[in-house]
Amino acid sequence: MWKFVVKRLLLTIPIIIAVIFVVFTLLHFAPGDITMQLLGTKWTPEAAETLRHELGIDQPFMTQFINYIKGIVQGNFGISYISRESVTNMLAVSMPNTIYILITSVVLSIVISIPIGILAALKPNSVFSGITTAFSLIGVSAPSFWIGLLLILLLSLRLKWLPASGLESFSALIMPSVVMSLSHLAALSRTTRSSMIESLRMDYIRTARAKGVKKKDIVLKHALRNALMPTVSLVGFIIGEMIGGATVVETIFGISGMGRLLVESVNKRDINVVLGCVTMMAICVAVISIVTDVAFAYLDPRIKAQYVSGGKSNG
Amino acid sequence: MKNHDQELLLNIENLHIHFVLKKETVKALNGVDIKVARGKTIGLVGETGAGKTTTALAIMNMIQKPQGRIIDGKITLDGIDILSKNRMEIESIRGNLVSMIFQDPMSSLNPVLNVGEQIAEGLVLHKHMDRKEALVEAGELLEKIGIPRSRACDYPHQFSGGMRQRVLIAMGLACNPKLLIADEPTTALDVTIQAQVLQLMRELKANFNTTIFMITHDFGIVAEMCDEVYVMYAGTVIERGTLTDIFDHTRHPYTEGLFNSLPDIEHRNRELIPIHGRTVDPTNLPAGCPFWPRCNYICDKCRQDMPPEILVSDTHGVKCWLYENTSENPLMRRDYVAEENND
Repeated sequence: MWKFVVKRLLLTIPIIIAVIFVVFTLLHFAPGDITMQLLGTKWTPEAAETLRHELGIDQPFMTQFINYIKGIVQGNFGISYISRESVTNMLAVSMPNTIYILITSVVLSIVISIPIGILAALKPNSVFSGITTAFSLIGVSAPSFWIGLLLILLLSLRLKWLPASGLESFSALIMPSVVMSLSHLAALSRTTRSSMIESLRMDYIRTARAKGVKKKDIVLKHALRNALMPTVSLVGFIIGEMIGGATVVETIFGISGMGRLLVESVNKRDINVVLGCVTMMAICVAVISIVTDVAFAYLDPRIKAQYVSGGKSNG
Repeated sequence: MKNHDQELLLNIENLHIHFVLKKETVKALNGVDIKVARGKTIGLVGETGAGKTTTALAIMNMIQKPQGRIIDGKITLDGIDILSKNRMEIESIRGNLVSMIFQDPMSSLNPVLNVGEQIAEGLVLHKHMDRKEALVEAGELLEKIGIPRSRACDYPHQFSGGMRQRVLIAMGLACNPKLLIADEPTTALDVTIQAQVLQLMRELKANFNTTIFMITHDFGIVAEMCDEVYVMYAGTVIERGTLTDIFDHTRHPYTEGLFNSLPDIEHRNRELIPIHGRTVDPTNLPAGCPFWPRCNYICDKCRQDMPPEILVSDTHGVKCWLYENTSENPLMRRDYVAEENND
């Protein structure tokens, strides 16, 4: 199994390099001169030349790219053109905030939607099932910035229960996580529900019942593990979406996370910071897809058998 | 009478089960009576849709609710009134007193649990073993059915169809049930594996003295395995008797039709005679005997009233008006005729 994980990690490296290459190229050839923006009225051809040299952007494209990759391997993402701060430091400050929100949002979505999905599957035609469907529809349809603003209006400004911005206390995590998970709750619970319904109809459930297995164990031991596969792959996908969605949520709630850093640096054309953010996001998504695959193998021995060579074959 | 009751392991009396759907009502069972003595193997035969599996599921009290409704009838298993038990009580009976082997070994095992675990599950539940003991016992059961103990940690996808069916049999026998229901246990298997599985069941029966309730539509299996035969048609038993009663003294026109439609190895060039028409629609049963639209011996009474069971011998009962006043056999089963011609 470990061999498989290492193999997957190694395969991820070229993908990340490719992502960096694409973003690097796009930013490199984007129109406009960074030196004009930085020097403003003090711009002279000489000053621009010195600045270019200082920033390392006077070298040929491929040299710049290779130097950038070399830097990343050593943990050096270069310096911000504007604040002249190390990008590595900027990321180190903002990433934990994003990760906090991500973790709470993911946990919140799973903890809420999987039990809802199971309950809805057990009573597919009940009122409860109908209510969750309706609720899910609202969650999907309403844009998260709108929900976020409504929550701030109600819970922070009117009721003064929760802080409107920042990330100083645990209670400040609540609103961002709710907003972030809300739009995904629906998809997750619906997926769990439908795969659970399917799983409960399978022959092996009948076999388990014939053995005298208790209803609780039939649901949690026999059906759920088989039903979780689509849910797990969706969770992996959703985390990827959440990393992108963090930009909106962090902006609304004034959290200095990676998403906001990305937006701000794009606005200021701070190329190194943009690149650093995108690279870190790509790495996060890649790692999550590995975690998803490992979870698959853990859930289903048939998939594990494909990964682990030397397993017994049919016979 | 008391003595007689003790010999009976299973007694199904006048069982009526309907499935009430939105648009129609499927009358699956319409008065089934089956008595199974301890230690016997009985065969339940009939076409698809005759109600064989519904009968078996009713014995396990596993009729799908709320659509499935038990309209009338009683099932007594080892002195226990099955249909009156609540969920907790029935869970302690299933897999313990009675267990069931299903027809599709490919899909009847849980793909994400290893086979040892699946066999051990019943032992933990009913024999109150701890998990370790149960796994050891599961290994022993695997050995008994001819699968090495070391494979207990393997998953269903690592076994062939025949092996999976054997695992299911081991699972069924784990708690040493008094009654084993086998629902077409060999249908999904090829012929050589079929023979192995049947051989295994016979051995197990000899060793454990389990009563077997065998559902099949294969007369070959019935002849090999069973002591008594029940022939079902449209949710009712239309003929019952010992193996000789049914095979050599066939009485019901439907049973005759079943035999006539079997190929005969000694007369290979002979055309098969199918039963004309189609199986009755259980949502729209005809009045009278359900078989009359397809019967070659039809009389007026057949269209009006369902015949009661008429005993033609101590062990042989048949639901057909042909035997109302006479015990003579008017049927012309083809192999009888053929034998006469050969002589």
